[in-house]
Amino acid sequence: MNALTGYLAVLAALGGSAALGWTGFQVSRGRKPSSALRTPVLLVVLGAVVAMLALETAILSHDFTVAYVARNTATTTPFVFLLASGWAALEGSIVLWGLVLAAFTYAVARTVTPGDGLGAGALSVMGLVGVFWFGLMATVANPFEVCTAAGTVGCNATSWWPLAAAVAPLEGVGPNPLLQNHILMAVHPPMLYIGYVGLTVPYAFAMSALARGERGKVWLDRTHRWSLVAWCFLTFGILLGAWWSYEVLGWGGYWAWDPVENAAFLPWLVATAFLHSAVVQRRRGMLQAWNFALVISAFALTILGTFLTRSGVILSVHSFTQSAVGPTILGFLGVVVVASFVLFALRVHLVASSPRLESLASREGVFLLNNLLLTLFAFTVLVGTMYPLLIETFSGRQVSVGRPFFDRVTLPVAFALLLALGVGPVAPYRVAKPAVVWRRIRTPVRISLVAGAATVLVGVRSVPTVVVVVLAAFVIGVIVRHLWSQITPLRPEMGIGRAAARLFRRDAGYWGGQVAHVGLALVAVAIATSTALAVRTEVRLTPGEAVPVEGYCLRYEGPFTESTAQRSVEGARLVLLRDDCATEIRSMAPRLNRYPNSAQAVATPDVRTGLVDDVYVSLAGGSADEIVLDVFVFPLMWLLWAGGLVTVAGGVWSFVARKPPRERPTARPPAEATAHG
Amino acid sequence: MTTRSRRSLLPFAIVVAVGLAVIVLGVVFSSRFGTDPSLTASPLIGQPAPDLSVPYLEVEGDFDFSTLDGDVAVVNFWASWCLSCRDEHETLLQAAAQYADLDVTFVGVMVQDQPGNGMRFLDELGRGDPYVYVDDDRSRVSLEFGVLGVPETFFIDRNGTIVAKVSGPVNGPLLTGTLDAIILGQADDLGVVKTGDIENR
Amino acid sequence: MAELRRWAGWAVAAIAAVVMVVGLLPTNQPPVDDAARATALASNLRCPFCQGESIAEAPSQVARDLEAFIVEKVGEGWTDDEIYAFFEARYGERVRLDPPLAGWGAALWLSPLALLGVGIAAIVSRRRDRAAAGAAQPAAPSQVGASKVEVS
Repeated sequence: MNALTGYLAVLAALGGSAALGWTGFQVSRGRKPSSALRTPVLLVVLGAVVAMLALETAILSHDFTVAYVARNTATTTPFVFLLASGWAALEGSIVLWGLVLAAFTYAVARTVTPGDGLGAGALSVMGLVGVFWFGLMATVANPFEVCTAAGTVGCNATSWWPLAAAVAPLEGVGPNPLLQNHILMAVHPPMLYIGYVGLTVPYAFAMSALARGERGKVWLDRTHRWSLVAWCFLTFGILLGAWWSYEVLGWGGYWAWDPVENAAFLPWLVATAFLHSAVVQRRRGMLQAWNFALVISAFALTILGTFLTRSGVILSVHSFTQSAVGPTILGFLGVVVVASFVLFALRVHLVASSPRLESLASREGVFLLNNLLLTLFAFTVLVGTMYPLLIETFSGRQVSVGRPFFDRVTLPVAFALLLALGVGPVAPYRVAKPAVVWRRIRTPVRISLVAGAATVLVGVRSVPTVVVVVLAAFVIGVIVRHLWSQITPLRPEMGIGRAAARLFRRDAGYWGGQVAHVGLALVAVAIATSTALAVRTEVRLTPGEAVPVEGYCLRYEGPFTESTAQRSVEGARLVLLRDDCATEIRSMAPRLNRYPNSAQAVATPDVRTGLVDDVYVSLAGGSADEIVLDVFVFPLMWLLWAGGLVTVAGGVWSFVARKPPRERPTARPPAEATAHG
Repeated sequence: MTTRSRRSLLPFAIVVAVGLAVIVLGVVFSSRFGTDPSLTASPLIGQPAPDLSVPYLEVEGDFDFSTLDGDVAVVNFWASWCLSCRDEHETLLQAAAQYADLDVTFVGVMVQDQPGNGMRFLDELGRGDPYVYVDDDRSRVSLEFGVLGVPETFFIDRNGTIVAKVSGPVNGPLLTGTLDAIILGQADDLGVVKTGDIENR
Repeated sequence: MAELRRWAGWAVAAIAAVVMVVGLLPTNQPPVDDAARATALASNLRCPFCQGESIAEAPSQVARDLEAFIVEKVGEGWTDDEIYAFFEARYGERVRLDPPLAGWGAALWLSPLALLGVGIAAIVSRRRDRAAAGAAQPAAPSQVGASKVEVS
């Protein structure tokens, strides 16, 4: 029953998408009224919602006649993990994907007014994208396949035909152990999906504008909020992923340059470049063609990321196993890239004649530099990720590209980006006069020099770390100085707090962006300290023993075990003490979790977060009388998460507080334009 | 005039560049479908077997790999926490007994594990006879054999050359087939066979 | 008074700069000893028994053993290339996380530089075009002084 409902819902959404693709095209040509879009959109939304509900119903009621349920859940699975199983495995993740796409389609449809050819065209493109995803669900990634032969546990044979004679195994296989180990495993991918799918909206508008031969910034104005939403979710998803990797996977890091991590990072880099180059086009009319190219690339990279994650062609801790889904997504990627760039090439003469740069030393110049650097960053990550595949295909040699390459090559790019982040806000548009710039940076320069000296005086001798601190202090100094100079004239009237609140509200886009920059500067500092200044030691302890470790002291109380139907736990009870080995800070319990459906134990570290540093303890092995611990001390780790959240908050602020374009007053109070400097 | 001709070239250049990129990506990815990204070739096939000594697991003293000279040898890497090692254990014991008269030596190398755990594992599942159990306490044997996880099994011919590697649990037909080929001197094209996932931690 | 404060501010900044430079002089850097070399080697080699991490990062026992092996060989005077070659002969090229700067590896390392060159050339050439055409085209309405920007 669930299988039938679900499959029919998928077909309905597929039909709705196809109809939307066609109707959107007709409406955009003016051959149909825009009210004709309503039915297809509703069909897509209804289908996507019912499909997700049917899958969740099947999972929660342990309907093992649905093969997906039998393969990915068990009766012993706790409720939250059951719920999360609805999107944690391959087919389910595509159902969630479809649901998010339907939600975006609906939201876009609400903005389409009669006579709005651009919007109708965008809906048509979203319909075509929907045809692919719902088509995937109806064929090679069908979550509603029924089980036709039950094994003792799980399902041995399946049929796509929802009315086939279904049998239910007595028990299901259960979720992936990494999912069962921590609920964050189920939360961070959907954040990324929302970000990925959100990038479909600017892409759809760009395609519509290109197809209609519309130049100008209308499509940018209509999509900047969507791009921001997508960007915020991508940022948050990446941040959560890093946090999950740090707190839950016991290897003592948060970023491994794994192909799947890179796949999420690539669209983020390109989307960030797009957010900035869009500003240049909207302010100065420049970079029209470049913006189209960036949007197409960002969308194509989300598909590439999906492909890398779901095809199983790449060896990664995150990947799903190989199936027919891989080739299908690859085909779609090819179609998207070829079709988009052919359209782009046909229309490029319309958009390539934008005004050009007057001086490299100007705000536009810095924006161009920013775009060049972000593109370079993305290119480096892409090449590093693809290189092993290229080499193996063309020469048969098996090679790897790992942290040494990515760290070394991206480090100078990241430094240059930080510098651009600091210089950007002080450089005026068109031409920057050295005297003006100097007046604006002399205080931040002094602050950053003092910050650098302070870092050296605390004992840091790592050159990259000091450089990052100097640059980050400069970035933050420039922003704070600018804010202060804007507040000063308002201060007598209303006081600092209200003046700042007023500025932030009045110019939410700009100040939201600056808040995000502050967040990124903090993240840069945290990455530098946690990479260059981290200490790692291996500690062997017998029960009752206490040893000093890197400024702290660890005492081993004894082993403990826990056993439930869902998992069995072996752990060590420890006490973290100050370096005198007497003052207790807190107890710690790193553990190894085992799940009945997997051979591999999942190590879960215990992390004590402090203002100065994190103590990170992971159980590496041992026996009843001696345990082996991996102990890491990461300075200023909290700054990474705080900085990341500040970045997201900046992004959220700039779209939440910003008034939609048509309601915005055209004339601005003169104080704003002159207060700078 | 020059700008005009450059403009008309631009779309062409874009299409060619993107088309090339798509073709390369397509070739690269489609050649990977149906292959297993975790299958790694071993450069040791055809190379002489390493020569080193390593402590026995259950008795005092060291086992010297040079004592294998002139024998065919099966070197199996295992650990007590490895589930597929349990699956293949019985197969290995039977083969060890079956090929004892044909001068085939079986060496079980325990890696990444405590001797106590290893002995309990053997208590539970049985010991081969004849069978050499050693404890790779410093991971030197794993290093010399380029081991990527457990279980992995290497085959050494009478000349002391590594001729084959099985990645994942061995099964009866594969084990006897490989050994027969080696004994008959037909071990030229054995290479690496993957039977399942290897485990590591 | 204001003059004095400005000078004091720059004096502090100058002292800070000197402190920073002196503190980071090569003589104050930890020496590149055998331990540092071993760590660098261990971070450039994939831990074969682990899941994608380097020998230096991986938490497993094998990683510690291999690290100890590297330390031992560095102590015996092996060169970096000899150690890489030793690992490659056993695990294959895949063991190197850091492709050597030769052949296709060089293309990998240099490709970002190439793109940087192309990017800079593109920006500069566009500006030149503009400068040449600038005389003929009337400038767009000036926005000098409008220093605000909306980062959308």
